[in-house]
Amino acid sequence: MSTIVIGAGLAGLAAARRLQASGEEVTVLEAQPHVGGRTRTVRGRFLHDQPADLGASFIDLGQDLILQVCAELGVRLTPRTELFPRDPDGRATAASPLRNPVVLGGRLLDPAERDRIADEVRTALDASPPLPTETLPAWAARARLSPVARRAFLAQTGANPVEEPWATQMAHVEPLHIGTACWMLADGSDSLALALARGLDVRLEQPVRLVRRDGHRMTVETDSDSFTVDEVIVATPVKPTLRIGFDPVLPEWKVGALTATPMSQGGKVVAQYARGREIKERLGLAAMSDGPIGFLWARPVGPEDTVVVLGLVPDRADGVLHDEDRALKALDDMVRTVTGVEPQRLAGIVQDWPGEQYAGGVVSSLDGDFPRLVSLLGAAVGPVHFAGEHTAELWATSMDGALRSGFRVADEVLQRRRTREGRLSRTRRLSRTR
Amino acid sequence: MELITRTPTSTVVVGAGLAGLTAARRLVDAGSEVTVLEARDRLGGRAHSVTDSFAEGQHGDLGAELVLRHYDSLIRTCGELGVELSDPVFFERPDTKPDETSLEGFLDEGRIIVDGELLTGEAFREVDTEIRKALRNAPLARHEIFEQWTRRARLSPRARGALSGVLRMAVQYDPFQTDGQHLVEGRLGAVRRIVGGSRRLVEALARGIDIRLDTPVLAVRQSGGRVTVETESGETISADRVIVAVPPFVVPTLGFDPPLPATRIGALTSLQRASGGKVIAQYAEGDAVRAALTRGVFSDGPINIAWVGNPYVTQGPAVVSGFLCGADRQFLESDDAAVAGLDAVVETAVGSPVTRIAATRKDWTPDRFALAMGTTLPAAQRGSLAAQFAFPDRRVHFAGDYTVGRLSGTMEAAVRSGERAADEVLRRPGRMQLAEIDSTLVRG
Repeated sequence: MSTIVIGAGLAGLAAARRLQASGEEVTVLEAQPHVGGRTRTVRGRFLHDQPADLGASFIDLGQDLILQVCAELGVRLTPRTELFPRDPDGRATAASPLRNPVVLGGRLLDPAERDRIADEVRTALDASPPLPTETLPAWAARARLSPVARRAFLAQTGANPVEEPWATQMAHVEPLHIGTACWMLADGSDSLALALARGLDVRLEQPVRLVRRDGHRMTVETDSDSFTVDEVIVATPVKPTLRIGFDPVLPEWKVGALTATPMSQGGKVVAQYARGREIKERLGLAAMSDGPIGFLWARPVGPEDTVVVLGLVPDRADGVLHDEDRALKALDDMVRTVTGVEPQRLAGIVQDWPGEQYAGGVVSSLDGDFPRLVSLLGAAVGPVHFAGEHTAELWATSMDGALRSGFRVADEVLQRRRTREGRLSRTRRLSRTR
Repeated sequence: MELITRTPTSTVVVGAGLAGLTAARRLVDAGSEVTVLEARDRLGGRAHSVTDSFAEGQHGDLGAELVLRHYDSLIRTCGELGVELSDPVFFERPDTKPDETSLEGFLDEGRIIVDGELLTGEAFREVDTEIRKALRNAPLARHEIFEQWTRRARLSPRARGALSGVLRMAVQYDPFQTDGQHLVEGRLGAVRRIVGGSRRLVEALARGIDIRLDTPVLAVRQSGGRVTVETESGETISADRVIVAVPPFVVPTLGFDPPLPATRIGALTSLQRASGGKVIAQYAEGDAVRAALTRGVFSDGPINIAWVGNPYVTQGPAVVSGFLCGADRQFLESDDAAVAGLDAVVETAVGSPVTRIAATRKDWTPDRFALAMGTTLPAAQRGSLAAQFAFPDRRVHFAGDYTVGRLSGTMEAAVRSGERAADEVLRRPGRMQLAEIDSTLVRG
């Protein structure tokens, strides 16, 4: 039995690896000239071989699958960190991120004001418990947050999930399930994809245009080649999936689920600065703002007192994401405002995820109808299987979710093989009897 | 005998766009007390005409503009209010056959730009033949994503380019974001405009209504049979009913107490935004521009369609509207890129250089009281989504173009939804107090 996997992101690579380990014939087709999908890392642009993670960054406590896979493949992590201080009673809530440095309208809130705002939000969370589906602005209004607290509270949507407030539901931030103990991949976030891809047949720069049924088999067509196989795994993000032709047409429920799953619109700006120790120390865990850089944090200090600083850039339709100079300058400004250090930028890169046709956005926004949506997105259509962070039953939208979906879909293919073998052997038995 | 004699005495309408104003007008005409709260410093929402920089008092519509033949409620309302509609223009080819769809009707020589060139002569015939053959051999399914169809039907890059403007014109989405329902279900037919711009209708609807501008609403709270609307400035207004007539993406930014049901929020936040807007310019070569662009010119570039916005003005300069949406909306972020894109389309269509007198642009995406041009509900779910959006939540009613299935994104849908919401309010009986029941109904 043979399988084509479309997409060499974490989901596709995990699926291919498991299938190959089970003795299946697998080929992975990747549209881009590199593996890793939205865990892309650029090397060689920063001094001292420091990686620039343009996509996924963090692994969180509880994401056991990715932790185990890293252990198995010898992929190393950075020292453990947190992304924010906890509330005074030790809990991590939607108020906790406000205990980091907060920049509103370009001004850094002084620590006393910031803590007062965080306390106000925490009191409101206890007094008016949010519904998981309530949007952030709806809850902030219902809970009667003061104008400044409301503004600060809404700013956190720029951090997670790099989305606009109206589209973000309280389940994302309360209770806070990420950032209490987390790690980055020490050699860059694509180091896991590179390790997974080792030994697999991955064909780069092969964007798939059409998946069609060909008698009892499936044919997958790229711009230059065509592959006929038994099973197809579509491991592309939501939007790129909508750019692939399917013959026969995908059923209504599948198209409906895909179009009901927007992707968060934003990007990342990454730069390396001198005076690394000073910046890292003054920045603390992370900072957030309602300006062009929604969220800011730093990697561990690198050689010769350099540091790589990462900023999330929600697409506020102000042109920043589409203008490298402005985006890097916005990062400099944020570093200066938060740390007081005059930034000396050594190099920088901007990544606009919605602008890439093979990404379409940062991650899926599954707020709409979880978990019904996820189950529809992940359900197979005959021999066509669907994987990706948006199809994960646990830790959707993360690297861990992508891996989970890849393993799930590999098991689906193996299950179909066993069913088919059963059918074949029964036929053989019947033929012999006759 | 009238069965119900009393109607709710007071209603607050949130939003003075076409939907809210239509609802308010109907309620006031029925004798209800109505207050309209509008966040902006102007009326009309996404029906917004500007004249500021244009010569000879001409205008441009930065938002809704077209009046199609089946917009019955809109046309009737215009008639009742004395708002003049223009003579029709036909975007589809005049010789479109009765059984042809809009998509086939838009296949017109000299009106589609691919790679900066108008498709004419042999080049047009090749594309025309290819697309017609593809439609015959691999018919576009009602729910199929348009880009997926172009792959399934194996269209050439040139044919895909030719159709990119056509599809984006119909829905203001990138081809991978939407199905082709509007291109294969029926025809566009006669297209009219409101003479003087959409604001003429807005002004007529608003006459005599108590409207408070610059009053953004923060929260809507229901308790004890009353609804209280709280504004951002901290003021509260109580009423029997509230009609929330704001765009779909603005609904989740308002506070509701009790919170809106999970299903409604889920449906709202899963909608795709038609992101982008318009660039509008006035050109001195009025006659040449009218000749080339009155019936619209499609392009595969950032401008998906450009048309003369005031075709009923037959002399002097001409005003041309160009649409930008999807990934190309980033051209609206800079002062020059959008206008340059429009100039290029106009010059290609006219076939000679043109003189721009004035220009303006509007990106509805970062506009906090719109957050998008609007939404087109997907064919597969449009009925169920619209029903969900239109459904009242106790004493809070909802109006807006997105609450009307197939017509979502049109002025007609806004008007219909306003009429429906007003009727909902009017048919609910007024609240009877305990003392009143005891004194008038109970046998002593």
